[in-house]
Amino acid sequence: MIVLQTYISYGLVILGSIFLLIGAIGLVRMPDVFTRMHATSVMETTGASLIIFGLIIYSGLNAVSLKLVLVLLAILYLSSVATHALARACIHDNIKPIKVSGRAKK
Amino acid sequence: MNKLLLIFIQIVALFLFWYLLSGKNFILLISVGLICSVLIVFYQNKLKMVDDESMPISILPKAVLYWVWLYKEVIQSSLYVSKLILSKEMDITPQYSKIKSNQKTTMGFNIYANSITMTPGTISVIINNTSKEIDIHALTKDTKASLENGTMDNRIKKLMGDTDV
Repeated sequence: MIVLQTYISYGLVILGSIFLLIGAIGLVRMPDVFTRMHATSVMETTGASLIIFGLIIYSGLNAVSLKLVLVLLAILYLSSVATHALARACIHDNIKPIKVSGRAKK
Repeated sequence: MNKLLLIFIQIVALFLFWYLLSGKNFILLISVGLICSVLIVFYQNKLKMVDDESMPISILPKAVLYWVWLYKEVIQSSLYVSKLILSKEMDITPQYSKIKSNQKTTMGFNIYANSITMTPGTISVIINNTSKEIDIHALTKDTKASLENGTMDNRIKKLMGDTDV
């Protein structure tokens, strides 16, 4: 049982790290600021939550896992607010979102 | 809901938060936590910091179901965006447009805007509470279409029910 718990948590943490890596790759590959924000939102929702779920399963049901749940809620709420604030600041700064159709230009 | 009950709930919630984060059973820590939560609630009511946009507890059970649904959506669109990032062509069609929401309440509208931002592939950029319109930026036509069919909007409307916050 404990072995299974450990392996599941390892799996979730690795899966979350893969999503973080994909988000980082997207951050480099995307053409402008708005599309880059879409790449980072993969990291901060799926990546962060999978890693924290893995840690919760690893630690079992105790005070630590409860604090991890609070951390997860804080990340989910604050990251969406931060993304919104960043996007709004870009529009206020007259940065126009690009319109590419078909394949993205380098 | 009457005011005394609300104050009591606020004190209990703050104290529980303190207790869960500290996790120790010393008399000193518990009494300090209790005094702090009473003082915070007292000054908060005096300064009228809590307005009517605070969380209505009655929708909490339905909100948990909504969170589960939202998480499923987040995972799905994460996989979609990840596939897009890793594909060689990276076939993105960025869209910037206005969508109309049919939320009646400020809080429902707020939940809607936050859910849009949380889902990868769509960002709510400028929100207008009086006309209930959101300027969204979408990564592709598909992610924009998934908002325009109104599934999320209707779910939040159902979640809010007849609360008028």
